[in-house]
Amino acid sequence: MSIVSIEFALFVAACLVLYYLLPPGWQRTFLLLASALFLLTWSWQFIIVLAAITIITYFIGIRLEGAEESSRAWLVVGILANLGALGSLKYVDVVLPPLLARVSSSGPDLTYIAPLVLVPLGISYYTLTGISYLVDIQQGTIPASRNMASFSLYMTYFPKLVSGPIERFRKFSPQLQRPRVVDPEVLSRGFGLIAMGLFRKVVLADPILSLVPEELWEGGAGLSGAELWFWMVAYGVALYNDFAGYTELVRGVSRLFGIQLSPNFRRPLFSRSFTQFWNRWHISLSHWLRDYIYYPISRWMLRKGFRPTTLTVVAVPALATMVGSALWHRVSLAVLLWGVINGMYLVGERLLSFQFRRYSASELPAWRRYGTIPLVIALAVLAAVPFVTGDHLPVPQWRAMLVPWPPPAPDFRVLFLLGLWLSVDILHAWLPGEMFFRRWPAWARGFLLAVAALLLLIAVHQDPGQAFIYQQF
Amino acid sequence: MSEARATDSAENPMGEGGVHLQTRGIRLSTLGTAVGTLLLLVAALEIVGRTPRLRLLLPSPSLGSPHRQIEVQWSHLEVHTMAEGPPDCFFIGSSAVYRGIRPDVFTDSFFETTGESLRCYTFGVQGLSPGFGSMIAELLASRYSPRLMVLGADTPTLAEGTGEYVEKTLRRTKWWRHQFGDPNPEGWLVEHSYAYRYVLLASNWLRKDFDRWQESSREVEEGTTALGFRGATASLAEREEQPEPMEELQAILSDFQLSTADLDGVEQFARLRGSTEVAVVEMPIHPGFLQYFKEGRSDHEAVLQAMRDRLDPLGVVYLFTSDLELIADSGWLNTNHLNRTGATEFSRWLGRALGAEQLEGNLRVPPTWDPP
Repeated sequence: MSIVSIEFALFVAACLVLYYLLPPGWQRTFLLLASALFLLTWSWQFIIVLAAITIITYFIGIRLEGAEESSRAWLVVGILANLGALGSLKYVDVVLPPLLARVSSSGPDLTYIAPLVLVPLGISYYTLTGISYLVDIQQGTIPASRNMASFSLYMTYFPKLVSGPIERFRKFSPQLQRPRVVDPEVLSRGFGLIAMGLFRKVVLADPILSLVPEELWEGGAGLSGAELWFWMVAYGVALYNDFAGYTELVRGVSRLFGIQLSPNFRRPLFSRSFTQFWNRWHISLSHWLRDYIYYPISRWMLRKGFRPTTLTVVAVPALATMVGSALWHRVSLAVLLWGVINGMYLVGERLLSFQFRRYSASELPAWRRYGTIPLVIALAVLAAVPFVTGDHLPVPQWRAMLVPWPPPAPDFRVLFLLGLWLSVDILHAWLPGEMFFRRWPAWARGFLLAVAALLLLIAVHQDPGQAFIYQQF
Repeated sequence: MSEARATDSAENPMGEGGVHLQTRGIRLSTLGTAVGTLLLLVAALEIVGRTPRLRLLLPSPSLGSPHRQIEVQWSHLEVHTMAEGPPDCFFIGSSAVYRGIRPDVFTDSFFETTGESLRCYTFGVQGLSPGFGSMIAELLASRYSPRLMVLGADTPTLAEGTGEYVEKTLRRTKWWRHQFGDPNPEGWLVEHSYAYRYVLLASNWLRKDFDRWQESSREVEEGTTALGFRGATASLAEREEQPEPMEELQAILSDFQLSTADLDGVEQFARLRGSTEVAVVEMPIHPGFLQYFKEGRSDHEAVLQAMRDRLDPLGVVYLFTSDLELIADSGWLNTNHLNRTGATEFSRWLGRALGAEQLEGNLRVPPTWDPP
């Protein structure tokens, strides 16, 4: 069941009715069952995988709590269990086909097995959720859950199951314990987020993606340097709106159940530095990587006596974090290169920060405040070339992009959609609050909603039901 | 109310961990404005769709089909019906029909021969074979109750594989499925709402091949007359080289196999005779075209004979054109389509020929029901 579908809307509506009809003591259990049902619509095998990971993590969490030195071994076991599930199932399509081909060359043909193995939905997200839970218990920042139903809901809550956000136990769990009221204000925020999410996904992301020329996915061959720039930027905007749209949609749905999920994006394409970019793009993953890879490595190096300003301390944690991010996305040389380049950007930025005083935005003149935004976008686009084209050494593409001439024949439809996105994000940046339109008068909001609904109706008919891009990671 | 208040409320009656829904104070003004705005827009589009003069100012609305030409044909038919009343005679077939039969000329010629007035519409669809054409005929017959339906059969369309594209695209179209035993909400909406059809039309703006689509769409819109005829002015006689048919068609004909499904379609069309009068006419083919059949002329003649075998027992009028040498080279657009001159000649001949059949009692077109 896709998140953007009539089926999902009906599923949520039915769940909401039952949820609010049930006595409070049953609501959590009901959400757990609804999550299982949601997963069941994809594949019953997924439930087994998710249940196994959840049970293992739950019991290891209890073992970890309050234990001293021996707890480290349990933590390793817990992390390995989660990573093992992730590695063996997510990367199965990388490892299994060549392995089966090798076995089949000297024995019975087993290559038919590879396509039968399904990668469980959302495994990249709930394994990271599980790891963060265990590490936090081991560090003493949260107590272990003693309620299997609550913990299972934390792991499997259906709005965040497919592609996050990767929630922390300390933020998610207390919500379930507290009495909550879903009043008109909360409902309005929830529906506002759903509307924004649908708009980003269906009106902005899907149409742009459907217009991207096939050549871009096939190594970018045949596209001039200027065309590569144009379509890479367009793809970046589409990717952002696709994922931000998904996040807003599921956050909105979750609000209707009285549970707040974390925001995942904060206008990342207006970032003035890469450090800022990674604090604004896929925030829940970036912060997970920061807390469980970047900080631990940095702290370990400092404990070992490295000086904070040495190249090793600057470079190793940043590169390791971005390589980790790359591996999380996909196992391929091209994506690895993307990770390394982004790591190097962070290293470069950090080294520069030792030389030049960092100013806050308000201290800078406008041209300096906004002047670095295009530079960050340009560098991010260059780094994304291997990620998008799948070429692990895209030297010809980079060379072509160095001389972006002649200018591309503009696709006015893409320009219109880019303009629409820019308007939305600029309004977001200028007007207070998460939803810029909430303080507008009702007639203006209504008119905006009508226009959005019309655009949505038009867009959905051209390419209905495209899966979310981040669902594949 | 802030989220903090919602979560920290000590007075929540639902106890620990419970969620309470509070609907008091919900205002639906935003939603109401949105719905109102959309309803106004829908009403405006419905008015446009139902007013022939306004409708002609916009491109033909979509049926949700990838086959634009059939959408334009359908739209022109609707506009014609709204403006002039429903046609009582249809010509059905492939591009050979919309290129080759001028309803106005046919009507004059038929009237001159029989004294009977008809209001004809040409419903030709590019790539349509008789197998699927019979379904279109069925649909038109049930909607318009015409007095006469003529199937223009050109022998290449009875080759196995010729009509596949049209069949596939129409079978994928929800509106089409809705007409033939698969009721579905979208098909219903397309059938009943012009606003929805305009939304479908607008969605083409996001097609990857929009420029090409727009160009061909405009060509079809501008080229198709209010009566469904799409004439061409170029002439085979003016060309230095004989243009070749499309590669796909050549490939099909070079491995020619007579399609039983299409023969069944011809027969099915003939069986419409219970509700309307029907006739079948062989659409002219230039002698230069026969070389593309695997066995040349004998394949062509085999198709004609097979059709005759199906039609004769049913007593349907079946007109042949092969040996008549009706059209000079100046009347051909290419070897399988007539141009405007050729269409005029052929339509005049067809009016006379069917008129003669009517006078002889072989064709029984009932008198008009219209009041004088």
